[in-house]
Amino acid sequence: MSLRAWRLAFRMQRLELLIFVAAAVLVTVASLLIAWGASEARASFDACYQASGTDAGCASSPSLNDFSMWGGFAKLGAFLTPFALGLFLGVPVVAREMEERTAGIAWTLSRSRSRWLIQRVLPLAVVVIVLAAAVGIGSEFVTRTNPFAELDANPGFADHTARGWMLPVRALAVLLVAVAVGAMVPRQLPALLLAGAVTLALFVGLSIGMDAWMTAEARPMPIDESRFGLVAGGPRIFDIAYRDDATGEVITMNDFYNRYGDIAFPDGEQGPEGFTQVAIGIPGEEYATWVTRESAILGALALASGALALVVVRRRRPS
Amino acid sequence: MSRIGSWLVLSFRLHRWEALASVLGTALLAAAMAWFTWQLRTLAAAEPACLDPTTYVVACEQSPQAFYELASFAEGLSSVAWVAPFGMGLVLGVPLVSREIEQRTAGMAWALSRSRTSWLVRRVAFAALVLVSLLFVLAITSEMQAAAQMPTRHLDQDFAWYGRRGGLLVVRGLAALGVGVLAGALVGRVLPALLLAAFASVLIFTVISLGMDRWIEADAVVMATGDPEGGRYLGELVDYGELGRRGLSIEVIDEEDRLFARPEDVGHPERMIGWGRSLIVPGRLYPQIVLRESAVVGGAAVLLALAATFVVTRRRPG
Repeated sequence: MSLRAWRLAFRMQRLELLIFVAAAVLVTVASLLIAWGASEARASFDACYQASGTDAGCASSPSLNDFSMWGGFAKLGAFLTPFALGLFLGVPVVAREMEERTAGIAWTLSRSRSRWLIQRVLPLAVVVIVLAAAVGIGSEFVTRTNPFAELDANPGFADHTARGWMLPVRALAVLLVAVAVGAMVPRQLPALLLAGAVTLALFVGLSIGMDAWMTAEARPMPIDESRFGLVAGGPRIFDIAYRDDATGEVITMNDFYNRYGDIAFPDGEQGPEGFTQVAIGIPGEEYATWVTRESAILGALALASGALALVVVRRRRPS
Repeated sequence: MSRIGSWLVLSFRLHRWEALASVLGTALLAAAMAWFTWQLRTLAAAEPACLDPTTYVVACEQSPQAFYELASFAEGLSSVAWVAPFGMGLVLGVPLVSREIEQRTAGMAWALSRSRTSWLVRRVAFAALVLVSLLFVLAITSEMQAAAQMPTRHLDQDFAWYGRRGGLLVVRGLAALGVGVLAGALVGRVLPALLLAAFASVLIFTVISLGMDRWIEADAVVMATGDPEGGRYLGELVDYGELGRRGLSIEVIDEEDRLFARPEDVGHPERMIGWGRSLIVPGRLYPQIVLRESAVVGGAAVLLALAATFVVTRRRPG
C-alpha cells in the first residue's frame, strides 16, 4: 500500500480520527495518572497502617475512595472504547461514499473494488488497534493499582472486558462488522444504528456463550478470605458451594438448602459442621487461556465480517 | 394536500430512517415495560399482603421472591428509559442540518426557503413532534411500571427512579435534540457531529445534575441513616472521607449511628460526640424538584435552539 493511499484514508475520516485520537490520549493519560496516584496513596496508607496498627489517621487526600471512583470512570471509558472506535470509523467507509454518491467514481478509479476496500480499511484497522491498545494499557494499570484489591501481580479476570489486549481485538471485530453493515445500508446514520444493534446482539451472545463455556469448566477453589475478596488472584467465580469433608462431594448452596434446610446452620457459625465452603469458578491464572479463546472467536467474527463486506462491495450497485 | 400534510410528508421522507428507528425502539421498550407492569400487577394482586415491607407474613415465602426477581429485570428496562431521551434526541437532532451540509443540498434548501430560520423551524418542529410523542409514551409506561414495581409507595412524592420515569424524560429529550441540532450545524458532517454531540451531552447533563444537587441541598433535612422513605439521599453528614480528613476511622461510629472521638470510646454512651446522620431531600418535594429541573433543562433546550439558529443563519452551506 502506498503512502498516498494511507494519507487518503486518513483524510477521508479526519474529523472522526481527530476526535478519537484526542479522546484516546485523554483516557490513557487520565488512566495513568489515576493509577500512579492510587498506587502512591495506597503505599502511604499501607505504611501508616503497618506502623500504627489501625487505619485511624491514615487517610490520604484525595482518598482511596476517590481513586476507586475515578478508576471506575476510566474503566467505563476503556470498556466503551472498542465499540465507539469500531462503529464510528467502520460504518462510513462504504456508507458515506454511497450516501454522497462518490462510490461510483472511487470504485472506477481503483484497480478493483476489493483493492479499494482493503486500502480504505487497513489504515483504519491500524489506527483502531493502536488507540484501543493504548487505552487498554492505561486501563491495565488502573486495574492493577485498584486501591481496594491486591491485583498488582496478577489481576486475573478482574475488569477483563475493560483492559489489556481484549480491547484491540474487540475494536477490530467491531470495525469489520461496522464496515460490512455500512456496505449493506447506504446511509450513515441508519447504518450506525443497525451496526450498533448487531454489535450489541453479537457481544451479548458471545458473553452468554463464554459464560456457559466457563461455567462448564468451572471447578471448586478453596476460599481464602484475605483482606480483599473471597479468593486471591482475580478468579472468575460463578457460585459458592459446600464440600463434604468426609466424601469430598461438592454441593451448591441451593442444593444444600434444599437437602438440609436452615437447620444445618447453627447461629453464629460460618457454615455447617463437617462441610467446607468453596468457590466454584476459574482461577485467575487461566485468564490468558480464556482471553485467547475469546480472541479467536472474535478473530473469526472479524474475518467473516471482512469477507462479507468484500462480497457486498464487489456485488452491489454504487448508489 | 394541506400545507401541514405536505410538511409532514416531506419531513418524514427526509428523516424516515431516524424516525422509524425511534418508533421501533420506543415500541419495543414500551411493550416490554407494559408486559412487566402486567406481570408485576398480577403477582401483587395474588397476595397483596406479602409485598408490604413493614410487615412479616409467615406464609409469604415464594411470592415476594418471584416478584422481586421480575422487578429486578424491570429495573433494567427503566435504565434504558433513562438513556432513551438522550439517544433519540441525538439521533433525530444531529442529521437535521449536518446531512444537508454533508450532501451539499443545504445551499439549495436554504435558497428555496423564505429564510434559513423558517427552514430550520420546520425541520426541528417535525423532529420535536416525533420526539415528544414517543417520549410521552415512554414517560407514561415507565411511570406505570414503577408503580407496579413499588406498589406500597406513593410515587408522586418519591424520588425512586428519578429521571427514569415521568415528564423529565420528555424535557431531557428536547434538550438532547437541541444539542444534536447545534452540533450538526457546527460540524456539518453527520457522524463526527454525533460523536461531538454525545460528548457534549454527557458534559452538559453532568453539569446540570451536579448543579441541581447543590441547589436542592438547601431543601435537604438531616435524618437518621437508613431508608430515606422516598427522599433523595444527598450524602452522609459525616462520611468516610470526612472521618479520614479528621484523622478518625470508621470504628468511631457504632451500630446505632453514635459517633465517638476515639475507637476505644465506643460502648461508652457518655463519651459520644454526635450522631451519624444523612442529608435527605424529603419525598414530598419530588414534584417541586422535577419542575425545577424541567425548567432548567427546558431553558437549556431553548438556549441550544437559539444557538443552532444563529449558527444556521451565519454559516456557509457547504
